[in-house]
Amino acid sequence: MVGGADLAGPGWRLAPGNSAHARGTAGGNEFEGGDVTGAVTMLPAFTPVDVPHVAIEERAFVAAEITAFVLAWLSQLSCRVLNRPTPGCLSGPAWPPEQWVLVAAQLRVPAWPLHRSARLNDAKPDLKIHSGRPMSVTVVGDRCTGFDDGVLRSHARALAEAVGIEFLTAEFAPRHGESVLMNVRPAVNLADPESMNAIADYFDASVDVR
Amino acid sequence: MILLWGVPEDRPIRRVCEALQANGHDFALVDQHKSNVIGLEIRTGERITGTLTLNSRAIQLSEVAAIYARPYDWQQVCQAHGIMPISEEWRHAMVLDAALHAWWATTPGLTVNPIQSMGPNSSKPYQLEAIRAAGFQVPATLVTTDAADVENFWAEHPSIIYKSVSSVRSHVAQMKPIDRQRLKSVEWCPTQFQQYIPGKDVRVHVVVDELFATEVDSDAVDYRYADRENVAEPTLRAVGLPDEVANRCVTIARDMDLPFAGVDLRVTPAGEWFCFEVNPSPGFSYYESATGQPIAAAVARLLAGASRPTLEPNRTAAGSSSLGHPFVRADQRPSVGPLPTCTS
Repeated sequence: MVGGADLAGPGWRLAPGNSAHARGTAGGNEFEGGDVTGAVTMLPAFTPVDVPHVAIEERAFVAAEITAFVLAWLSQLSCRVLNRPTPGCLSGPAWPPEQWVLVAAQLRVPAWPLHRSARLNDAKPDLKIHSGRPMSVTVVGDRCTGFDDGVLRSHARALAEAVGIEFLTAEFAPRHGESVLMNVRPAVNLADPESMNAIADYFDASVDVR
Repeated sequence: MILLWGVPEDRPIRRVCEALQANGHDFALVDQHKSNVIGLEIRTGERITGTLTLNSRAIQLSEVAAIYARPYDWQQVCQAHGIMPISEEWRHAMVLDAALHAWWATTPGLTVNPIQSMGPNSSKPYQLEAIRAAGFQVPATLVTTDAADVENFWAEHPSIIYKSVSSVRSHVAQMKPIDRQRLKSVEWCPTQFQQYIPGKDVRVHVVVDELFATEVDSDAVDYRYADRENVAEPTLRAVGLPDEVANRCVTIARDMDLPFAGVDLRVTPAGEWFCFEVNPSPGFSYYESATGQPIAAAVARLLAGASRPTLEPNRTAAGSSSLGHPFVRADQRPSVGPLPTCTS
């Protein structure tokens, strides 16, 4: 497990164009970039609270620096990375909800229409969303976990394939007699044992292929 | 309809406004100082629709063919106006900024530049790989939190510079022997070191396939901060580019999906061309003022549709034979404070 305390500390190295020189540390243990056989990113970016050991006036700067560093460091890995980072989000695409809805429409996946309102003294929330408990489906590679419904799992898988990522959680809710897409996150619930098993199997499979 | 998003005292915004006005194009400025009188409604289903309200003017989002976006950090603008974080004005500025960013990401119109294409510039080593892939030479680079790594790199390259990894505090400085005393401080934060490349800087502004190259004559390591280095102000002049370099500039901007880009090059005394960075929101007015190159006019033409990007493969650098550089980077923005209170 690598966190802000590791990254804002000694032992990290990246030589763009020479991935063999990449190096990192976790809990004081150094490792070579080439020894990494898989990575799962659970943070979209680092924030000042991730580097509490740094002087308070420098935390925002250091958080921005390690975010930029991790983007490049993860990008040079040749192993499986869930998800490959993008410049806006270390764990996958940095998309607003509208972008997921538009992709869903292209895929014929029914989605909850979004209405975003930005007006001064507008008491309404900016995003009008369903407040009930969602039906959550997680995609890890070619496996789905979570709500056991073939159609919803197919929808979630289609979204992941369309965007070219291997790791997402899609949330659905009932609307007018059908289940519609509410939200997509390039992340999983680490407290869910089924999702964790799927992640472990995903990396085991990559080791088998090697 | 063309929209510009930013603040009117930002010189690139101002120059593009002037160029659009001079040619009678229909445009409007989404002025961040006046967020109190700006409203945005976005509805997203099979397509995105909505209305942008600027004072009493209502603009259908479907009417907007192009956006030139150089937004400042909305919190910085609020602070400049003395807007308190717990106020309704603060909340509105935050919600409006998020809505405008969402629209920026999803509009089918031309965006200069697409928000997704702005990100790579936020990580220098990440972008460097894209630059290398485009065929440019790049300096030998090391990013590390280890003083011993720096010493080894310095031993390989007699002269090295250092800079931030992200786009924050992006000031280039040359390593000097006295810096060894504080080298251990790299343990607290990854820092980028690069082989120093001697030569002259050339900023190339690419507007699809129009190029405007400016040679910068300066004794400073980072000519943008010549005053901090106590050296003379840089001298700028418009120059031509070798065809191969010109084509590469057009190609890299196209590959990075940047209709408008600022490519930072350096040509060595031996005639080798290195690329350091591709800026997705170039502050071109500095170069335009010094050289008279009509960069704002080219951006205005792009926005107006006279020079729509076709993004076809194998495009040649048509402009290279004539003459020949979320979010605006913090260190390239003019100050926005103190500002008058927004009353309209």
